[in-house]
Amino acid sequence: MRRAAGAHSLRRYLLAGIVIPITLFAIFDSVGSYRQSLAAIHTAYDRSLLASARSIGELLQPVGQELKVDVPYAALEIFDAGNEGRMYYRINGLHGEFLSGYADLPDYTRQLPLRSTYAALVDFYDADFRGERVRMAALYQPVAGEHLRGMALIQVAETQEVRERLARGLLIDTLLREALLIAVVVAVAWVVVGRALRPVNDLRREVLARGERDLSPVATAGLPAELQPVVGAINDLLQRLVRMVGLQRQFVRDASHQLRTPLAVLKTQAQNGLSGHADPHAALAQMHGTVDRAIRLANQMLAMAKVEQVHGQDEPSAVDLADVAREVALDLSPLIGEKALDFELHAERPVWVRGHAWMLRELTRNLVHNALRETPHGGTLGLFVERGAQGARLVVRDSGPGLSAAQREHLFEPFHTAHPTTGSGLGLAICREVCERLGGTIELHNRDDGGRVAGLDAIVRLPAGEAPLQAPA
Amino acid sequence: MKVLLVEDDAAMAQALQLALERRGFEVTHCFDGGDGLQRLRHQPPDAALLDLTLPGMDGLQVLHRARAEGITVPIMVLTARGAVGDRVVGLNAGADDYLAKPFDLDELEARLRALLRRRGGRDEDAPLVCGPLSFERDNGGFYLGGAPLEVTPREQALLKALLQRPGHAVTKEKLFRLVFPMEADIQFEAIEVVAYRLRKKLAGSGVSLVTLRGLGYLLRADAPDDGAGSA
Repeated sequence: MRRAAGAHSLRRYLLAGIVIPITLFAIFDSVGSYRQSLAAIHTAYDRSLLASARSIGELLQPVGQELKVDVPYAALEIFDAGNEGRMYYRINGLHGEFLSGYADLPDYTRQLPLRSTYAALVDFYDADFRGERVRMAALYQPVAGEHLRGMALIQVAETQEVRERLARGLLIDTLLREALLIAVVVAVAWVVVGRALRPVNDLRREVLARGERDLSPVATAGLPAELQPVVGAINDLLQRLVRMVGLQRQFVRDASHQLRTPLAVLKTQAQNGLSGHADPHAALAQMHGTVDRAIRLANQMLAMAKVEQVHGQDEPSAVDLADVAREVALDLSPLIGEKALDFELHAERPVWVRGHAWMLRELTRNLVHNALRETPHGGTLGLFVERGAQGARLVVRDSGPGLSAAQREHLFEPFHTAHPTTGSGLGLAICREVCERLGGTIELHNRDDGGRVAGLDAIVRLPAGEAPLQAPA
Repeated sequence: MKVLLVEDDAAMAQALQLALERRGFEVTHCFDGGDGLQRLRHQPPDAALLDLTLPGMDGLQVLHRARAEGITVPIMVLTARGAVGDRVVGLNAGADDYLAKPFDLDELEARLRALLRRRGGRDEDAPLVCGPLSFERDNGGFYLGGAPLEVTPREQALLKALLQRPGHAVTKEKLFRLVFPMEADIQFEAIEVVAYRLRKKLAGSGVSLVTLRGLGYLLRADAPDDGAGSA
């Protein structure tokens, strides 16, 4: 599965979240139970060690002024745990003198514990003897005879092999059991997580397997509740795409139709001229007009496509809207002159907006072009650029007939024009597209003058932009 | 005036050649970029019209090579691509002007003459006419319907500027610089006084001086049926 770098895997996250705490707990638990077992082993063996010491103590005989002892080996053997361990003992007399046993067994020099779990003066401890770890029990045995009375010290030592073997066995058992537990947890978690994530993979496969033209909604049946919103969002996007693709198809259909119309007209006009049914010069003049119309249509369609295609790659910059208005007015000045219009431009001060100069030019040109077409000969036409509190404002004020209610309905739709013989029907569609791109709005209002329409105001509002650091040359 | 036309579409080339020859240019035509470059090297014309989409070496390459070789012939790029990006690329590559196809022949002629003027003032035969108003280069006088028109030097500067492109507006700022060169303490509004006097002199003659408020002025030949409106 390909994954974007840094993206976290849900499977890994779930597995880690389940397995790591359980493993930590198992380790903690093993350590605890090993310690407990070890303590139990020690207690059990210490008891038998004490029993050995006591039974030796029983053998102490006060004879006159002396203490006699005779330890048969069998007495030791009874307490000897099989052949693995060895036992050593040492008996000290009432005055600390060595009486019997292994003289090299280190003498008891420790302080007796104040409290003991045993009803005896006994102490257990670990020591080294003949190169081995031994467990030692030191017992003070009271002795009372006719002529003597006191405490004899009996030490019994036992090598620790048995205890260690038992402890090791217990440890291994515990570890094996915990390992099995972890293995089971990992296996179960793996399977459960895999099953839980299966719908995600299914969804991925379904989306990947789609044809590029298949924009139908993704099926939500059988998907877990957690995935429903994701699929819902995908379907929402698909729906918007369907709408956009539909609009574009419609545009292409309309555009081809629109392009065919002037070509058909041109062909008819040319045939009329060639066949002599029309005066050749008149036919040519008509054809010239038709070609102009086709040119305008083609230019508008290119402009529309270009505005639509602007994405991140074409960064907007600071543009002076007043400058754009001046430029467009200069460019269209022959048309203004031809109609002998009473023209007025108000764009003295720079009004900065953030956008693309060509887009703003296209916007202004289309609005002024429309206004020029609607304004009667000798009428008034105004172009105003202002900076208000809400941002930049561009107003194109004509003295034409204004908009009818019927025109309003399809105002910004491509190829809806009130002038099928001269207009492309794209001008306002382009204007709206540009405004949307630049985060602005466009409104068209009939201007009322005592009950009759005095003309149309096209008002464009754009967010105000920062002036560039240095003024462009 | 010799113009080199590099254009691969035969119909377009033929029509352009005819139109330019009728307008007093001497046109040499070649179909591809390689030929065009050879011509620019060995028989440099006064100006060249260069299509961008050409077989073999395309227009931008021709432009690059020519400029790299130090050829300074004014070159105007003609293209159907028409996008702003192309325009910038073309001008950056060393073109002197740029015209998107389809274009108006009058526009082409005006731009071509402007190009030649800028490159050394050899274009002295372009007529300066608007309706009944004309400027005679021989004696430097203006004529209105055949009769000499009395104008002051300032009015003359204004008229000449407007006659360069009749029908097109010229900004007040530009006119001010042409009419009052090197004059520091003149009010900007003085240009309006000059324009006002000129408008009165031209009134009713068939050519009018039109004011575009806030923008500038233009000269317009009145249409025959146009009685009402000279602003």
